[in-house]
Amino acid sequence: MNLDVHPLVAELTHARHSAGSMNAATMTLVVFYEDAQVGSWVRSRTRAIADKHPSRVLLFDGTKNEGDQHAEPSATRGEWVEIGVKGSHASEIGAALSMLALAEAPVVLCWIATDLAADERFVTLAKQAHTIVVSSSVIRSDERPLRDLIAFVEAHPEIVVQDIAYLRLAAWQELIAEFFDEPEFLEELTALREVEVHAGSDAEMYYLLGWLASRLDWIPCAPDAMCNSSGDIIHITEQRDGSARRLSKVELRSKDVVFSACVHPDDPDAVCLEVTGAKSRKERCAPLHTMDIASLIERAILRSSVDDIFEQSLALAKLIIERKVS
Amino acid sequence: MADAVATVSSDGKQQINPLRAGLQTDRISDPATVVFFGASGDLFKRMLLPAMWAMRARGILPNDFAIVGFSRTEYSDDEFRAYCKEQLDAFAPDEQKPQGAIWDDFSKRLRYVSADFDDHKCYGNLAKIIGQNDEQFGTKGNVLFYLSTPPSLFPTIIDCLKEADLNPHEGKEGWSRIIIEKPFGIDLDSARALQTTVDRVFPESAVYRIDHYLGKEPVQDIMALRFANTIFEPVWNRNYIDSVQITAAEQLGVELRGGYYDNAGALRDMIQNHVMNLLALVAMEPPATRDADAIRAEKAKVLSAIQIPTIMDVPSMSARGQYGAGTINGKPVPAYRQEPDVNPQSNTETFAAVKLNVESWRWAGVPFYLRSGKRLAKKTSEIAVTFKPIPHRIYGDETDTIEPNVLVMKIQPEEGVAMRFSAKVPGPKSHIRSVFMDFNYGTGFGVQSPPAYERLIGDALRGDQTLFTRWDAVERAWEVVMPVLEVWQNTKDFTFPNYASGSQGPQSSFDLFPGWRSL
Repeated sequence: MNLDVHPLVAELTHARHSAGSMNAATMTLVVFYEDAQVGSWVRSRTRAIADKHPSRVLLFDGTKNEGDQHAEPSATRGEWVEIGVKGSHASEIGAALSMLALAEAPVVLCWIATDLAADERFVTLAKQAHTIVVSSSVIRSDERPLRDLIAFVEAHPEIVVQDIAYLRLAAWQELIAEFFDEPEFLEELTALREVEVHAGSDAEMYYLLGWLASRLDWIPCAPDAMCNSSGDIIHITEQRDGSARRLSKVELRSKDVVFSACVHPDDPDAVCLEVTGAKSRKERCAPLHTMDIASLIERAILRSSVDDIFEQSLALAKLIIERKVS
Repeated sequence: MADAVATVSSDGKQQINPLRAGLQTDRISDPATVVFFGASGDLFKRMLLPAMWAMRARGILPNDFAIVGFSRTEYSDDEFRAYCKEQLDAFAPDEQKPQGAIWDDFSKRLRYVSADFDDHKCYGNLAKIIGQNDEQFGTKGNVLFYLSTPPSLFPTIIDCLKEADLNPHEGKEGWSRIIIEKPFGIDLDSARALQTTVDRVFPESAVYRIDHYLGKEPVQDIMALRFANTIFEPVWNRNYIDSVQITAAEQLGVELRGGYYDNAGALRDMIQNHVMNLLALVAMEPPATRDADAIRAEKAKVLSAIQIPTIMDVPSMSARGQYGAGTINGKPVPAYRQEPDVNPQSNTETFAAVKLNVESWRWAGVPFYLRSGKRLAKKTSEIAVTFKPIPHRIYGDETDTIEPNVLVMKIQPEEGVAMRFSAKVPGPKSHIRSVFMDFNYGTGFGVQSPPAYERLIGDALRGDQTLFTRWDAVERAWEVVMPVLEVWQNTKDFTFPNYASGSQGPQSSFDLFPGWRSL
C-alpha cells in the first residue's frame, strides 16, 4: 500500500498561488466513511457544512482505492479533496492528514463508520484532530455504536469526542426542561415514577434516559427501572418505533400528573406538549426545530470545551445498557 | 443560553430546575404578548410580522407568547389572521411559508384591536385582550409594545398606554417595554418633548429606541473586529489614523416616501441616527464588558466628545445636495423635485455631508467625515479608516505612489472587511503598488445574515438593550446636527438640484473633503 498525496499537495499549493486573491478557510474538515450506501449522503452534508464554514475538506473515502484521488481547488473559498483509502494503513492516512492539513486552522474530524476504539485509523486521526464528531446512530440503529463510543472514551479519556446522536436531543431536552420551569410542576420531578420513550434508534433512546438520570440523580436498579436517591423506583418503557435517529414521544408520569411530549401526527416538525392529571396545562404545539446534521456538526465545532452534561449522560447510558444486558 | 432556571415555590424557597443545567438554547425564556401599533402598515407586513413568524418557526420565540395588532383598519380577529397569512405567503421565505401545526398554533395567538390611536377607550380593550392572553397563553403580564406608526402618534399612544394602566408601575404583574421606531423627534426640541412624554410613562430601562442598522450583522462585527483582535486597537488613535469616513449611499430615490422625506431630508433621515451610530461604534473606547450598560455608556461618552459646530462653522464643515434627473442602472430617473408628493421648489437636501471632530485624547485632530445621499452611483454603506502616510520612504520608484493603508468595514450590500496595503511588484526593480485584501462575510462564512428585525425584537424580549440607542446618545446626536439643520432650513440653496442622479454627489462634498472614496 502506498498512499501518496504529494500530487494533491502540489495541485492545491499551485492553485492557491495562482488564484491571486485571498482564500478564506476556517478549518481542515476531515470526513471518513467506508459504507458505499452513505456516500452521497456524506458528500451532501459535508458540502453544506463547508458552504457555511469554508474549509479544506479532506474526504477519506474507504470505498475507493488509494490511487483514486482528486482535488477541487477554489480561488476564493474552501477546497475539496477526495482520497481513496480502501486498504490504507492507519499510519498512511495519518500521514496524509499531516501533509494536507492547513497549518493555521483547526482540524475537525467527522467519523462516519461503525468501529471506533477497535479501529486504529480512527484512533490515529482522532489524535491529530482538535474536534472529533461521531454519530452513534447513522450506520446502525442498535446500541452497539454507543457501546463502542463508551469503550473508546474509557480508553482515551484525553480525547474529547462529541456525538451527533446526543446533540440531536437538544430540542427535546429544551422542551422537557420547560415542563418543569414552573414551581408547581418543578416539585413533580422528584415524584416521577414512570418514563416512556419512543425512538427509532437506541443511541437517542439511551442518551435521553442517561440525560434524565444524570440530572435527576437516578441510577439503574433493574433492567427496566431506575431508582432515585430516596430509593423510589422509576419504571422505564422503551418503545422502538418511528424514523431512525428520531425521538417521537417522551412521557413522564408522577403519581398524579402526566407530562407528554409527542410529535404531531401530521406535522413531523411540531411537538405537542400537554400536562394532564391533578395539575394540567392545555396542549400546545411547538416547533421541534429538528436541526439538520450540518447544523449539528456546526454546533459541535463551535462548542470548544468539554461538555460535562454529555459525559455524565454517556456514563449513565452505559450503566443503563449494562443493566439491561446483564 | 439558558442555564439552570431558578423559580420560587409557594413556601418562598428558591428552587432550581435541574433539567436546565448546561442546556444551550436560543429560545427566549420570558413569556410575553407583543403589541404592534400600526399593524396594517407596510413595516409590519414586510418586516415585523415575517420576523415574528421566523422566530417562531426557528424556535426562538418563547412557547408562551401572543401577538396583538392595533391599527385603524377594521378587522375581526379572524380577518387579521387571514391578513397575516396572506402577508406571510407573500413576504416570508419559501422554506418558511405559514402551514401545518405550527401555523395553526401561531394564528391562534393573533388578536386584533381596530381603533383610532387617540381613542382612549380602545386601550381598555387592549388591556382586556392582554389579560386574556395571560389567562389563555400564560404570558404572565409581560408586554412588549412596538410603535410602528407615524412618529406624530407616538406621544398619544404612550399617554394612552399609561391611562390604561399598561405602563410599568408598582403592583403590575410582569414587565412592560416599548420599542420606538425612528425618527425619535424631528429636531432637538421635539425629541426632548417626546422624551418628556416617554419619561412620564416608561423608565429608560424599558425603552428600546430602534435603529434597524444596529441589528445588521456587519454593524455588530465592527465591535468584534475592534475588540476581538489585538492588532487594531494599538493603532486605533490619532497617532496612526489620518481620517475616518463613513458613507451611507443609496441608489434609490424617495420612492413613495416623498411626503415624509420632504419634511425630513438626509441629515435627519440618516446622519442623525444611522451614521452617528456607526461613528460611535468606530470611535468608542473599549467597554469593560459586553454588557448593554457598558457599551451604551461608551457610545454616549464618545458622542458627548463630538464638538458641536457653531452656526458660523456650518459652511466650512458641511455640504448639502439635491438630486436632479439622471440615469440609474441605465434607466432615466426624475429629479427629486419631480417625485410624487415633493414640493416642486423644495429646499430639502437629499445628500448631506459633515465633518466632525471628536475632542478626546484618542481622536483629537482626526476628522470624521460623514455622508449620506439618495440617487447616488451605487448603494454602499461603509466605514473607511485611512491611516497616516509612512514617515520615511525607502521603497519604490520615484514615480510610484505609496498610498496610505486603509481599513474598510463594509456594511451593505457587501459585508466584510478590506485592507489596503503596499506590496512590491515582482521583478528586479523595487516598484511598489497598493493591493487590497478583501474578506467578505458572505464568502467567509457562506451564510446570509439574519434580518435585523429578528435580532432586535428578540433582544427586546430578552431585555437586552445593547443594540438600542439610549436617550443621552439620541439627544447628543441631535445637538450635534442642530446647527447644520438650522442653517440649512433658514437658507435656501439656489444651486439645487446640484448633482445628477447616478453621480458621486455634489461637487460641494468634494470641496469639503477631496478624499471621499469612489462610490
